[in-house]
Amino acid sequence: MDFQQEYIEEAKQVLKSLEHSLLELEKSPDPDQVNNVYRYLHTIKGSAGMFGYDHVERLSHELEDLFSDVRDGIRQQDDFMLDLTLHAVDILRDLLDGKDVVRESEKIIESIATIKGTAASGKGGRGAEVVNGYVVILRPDENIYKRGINFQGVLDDIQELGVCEFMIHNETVPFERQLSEKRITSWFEIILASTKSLDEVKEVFLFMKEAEYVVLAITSIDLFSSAEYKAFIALSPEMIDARERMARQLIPTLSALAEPSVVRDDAKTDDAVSVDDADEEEQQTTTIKKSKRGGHVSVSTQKLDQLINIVSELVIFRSEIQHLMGNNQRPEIAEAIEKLESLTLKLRDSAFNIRLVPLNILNVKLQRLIRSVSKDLGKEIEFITEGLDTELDRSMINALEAPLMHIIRNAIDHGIEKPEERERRNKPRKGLLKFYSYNSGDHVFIQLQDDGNGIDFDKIKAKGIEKGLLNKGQQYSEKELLNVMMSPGFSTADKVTTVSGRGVGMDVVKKEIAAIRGDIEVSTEKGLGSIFTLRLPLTLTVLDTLVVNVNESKYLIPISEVEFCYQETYTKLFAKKSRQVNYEGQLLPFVSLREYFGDDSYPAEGTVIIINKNDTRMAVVVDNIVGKLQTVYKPLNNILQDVNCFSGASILGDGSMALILNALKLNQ
Amino acid sequence: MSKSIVVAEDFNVSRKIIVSTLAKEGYVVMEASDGAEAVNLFDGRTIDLLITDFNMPNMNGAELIQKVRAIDSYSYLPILLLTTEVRQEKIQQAIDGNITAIVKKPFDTTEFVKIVKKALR
Repeated sequence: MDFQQEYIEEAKQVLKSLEHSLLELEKSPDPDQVNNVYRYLHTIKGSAGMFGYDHVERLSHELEDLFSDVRDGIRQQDDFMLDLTLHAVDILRDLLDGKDVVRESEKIIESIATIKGTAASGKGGRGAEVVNGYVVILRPDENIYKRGINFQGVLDDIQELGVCEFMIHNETVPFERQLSEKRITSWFEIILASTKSLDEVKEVFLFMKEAEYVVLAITSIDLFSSAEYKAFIALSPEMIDARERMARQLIPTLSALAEPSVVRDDAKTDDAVSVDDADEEEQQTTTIKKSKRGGHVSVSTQKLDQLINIVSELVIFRSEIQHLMGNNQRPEIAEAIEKLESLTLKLRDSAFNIRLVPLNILNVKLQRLIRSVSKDLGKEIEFITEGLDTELDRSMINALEAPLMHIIRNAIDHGIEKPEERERRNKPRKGLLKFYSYNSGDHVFIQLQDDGNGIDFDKIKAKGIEKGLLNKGQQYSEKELLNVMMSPGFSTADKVTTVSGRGVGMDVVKKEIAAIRGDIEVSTEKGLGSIFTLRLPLTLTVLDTLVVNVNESKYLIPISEVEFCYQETYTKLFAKKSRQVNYEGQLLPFVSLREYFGDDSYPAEGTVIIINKNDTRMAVVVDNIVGKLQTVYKPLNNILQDVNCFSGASILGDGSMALILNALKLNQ
Repeated sequence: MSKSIVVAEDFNVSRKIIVSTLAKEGYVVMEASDGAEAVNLFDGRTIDLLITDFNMPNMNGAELIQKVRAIDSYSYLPILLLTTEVRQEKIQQAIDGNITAIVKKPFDTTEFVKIVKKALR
């Protein structure tokens, strides 16, 4: 009896951990957590049988089965599955307490069976990402550079295909020197693991002649000892061994298969197997491939930030070296610096890439929100997503969550009509809510489109007048009205509901988006719906800036804020008492940085920079423009945090520091 | 920095198509309607790619390529040769070992852009 009590205690502990993992999973899919869930279920199942808890055993077995599919990538986790499992945890607890919840338990098992049924059809849809193995043998013509082919570029492209191992043959002249002298005398053997197809791999060698390259798919580890391979390269047993080891390491599917000789036997018997079995076999191999693929390591964002900081310093240090070298460079050093540059840039890109996560991790949250909001408001919504694989900086996704949710809430509350009303307007009962995102240039765009009623400008105007934001008799353009909609303290909800109109309005959304240097744009058509477009920078740490000079000090202005620059004499600028310039017929306030910093000597001529940030315009007067620079943004430390007119700092190529100007704050 | 491309082609319509296709991709494109005009563009300025027709008045593609290659700063310049010529050996002989690739006319513009991007890497 004691043992049984102990089991119950332990099982409850495990259930607690299980619950925790499930809630983590709800936040974002994570292979580690899936594994944990699987493990916990397994533990519960394992001992339940021993103590006669048959129902516990059955239920946990079914759940374990479900999560083993998730772990192996056969099934995607979804909200329903998580809800069901969380519910099952409660039932398991009750079962352990001896409560009669057998019927509920059976119900859950039925639901699991339904989920499994639907998965079979879903499985084929998601193209399993399988890592293929290739061997590339490159024998470039000695004078390949003379044909205008950048051989280094070819090698870089190969590296971009996946993970690879380079072997350089006939390296009588050091390869680095071959590259710098642009005479390639070596030849290359490359083992490549890539998700790309053979044709895609071959595309890299588009300009190379047929005699210059061979791409072989590694279908079996025997390739290296085959006669086919011998025709290209004669290898000693040790060399074959080394390659086999390398290939096994790079291509997990190869190591998943047993000893080489056995593989061949299997392959033969496979042909004779009946269709059904073959199908099962295929499923098994994809399982192996899936579970062995990639693998994840969770790293704390702090460590990532540290890495990025170091990489950023490296980027700056490189420009410093280049600066120190000046013009009297020896060609070898120039070459080395160039290489350093390409490496640091690659390192920087990879480091930034680590921080990028697909928008997909927001999907579950958004769907859950839409489900609950539409239920509360009695509306029917069809949610369509596209481009959820678009990647963004992790911190950015976190910052995006609240505004996106707010926009969606608004769309469902104000935009999409009730089903009956939609029918009256000849629209489908279900309102359409579309979420799509894509990359364009240095930006990521996210669009939220609904096919609801559109924004009611009359209502906005009435509300604006009521709130004292607009004047009664005046005509306003749609753009102005949209601006009002996004100004503080504006909410058009007829009554204050839990959904929207809680005092948090579009102004907060706009502010939150602006905080991550994004823009928001609204277009709307009455009766047809609206589109909210968010434009976001790819990362927050790299910034294109204009370098300006004020009394021999350099300052940076984000290029995205600069609308126009021109020169003007100081006498003309300061002719009037009011600090205003006339730009495109509009009087804009300007701030002379010299004056602002308390300097009362002025050069005869200055440069006026028209700043446009979120449709607010002003001008800044500096001495002159130095140039354009891509800088790594660094936040200011605590001492300077209260200085509003600078948003951050950056280190210039010559090692000196420059502050990033937050122009709009100059005027306040 | 956007890359600079010289396009030498005597036939106006195809040249315009090529130029507009490339300009749309954000490249800086310089046009020449024959080889002699094209060779003048290679005055030491930075050029990242030459796209030239084979049959042109004044100076044909093969001569143009030879002239350009003879200039030190363009000895490793990627070159794409456009041709409708069926008898490839003839061309091959003229320019072998000197150019990056031959592109047969007519071509699909998306395919062409892909080739250009590869050549510029």
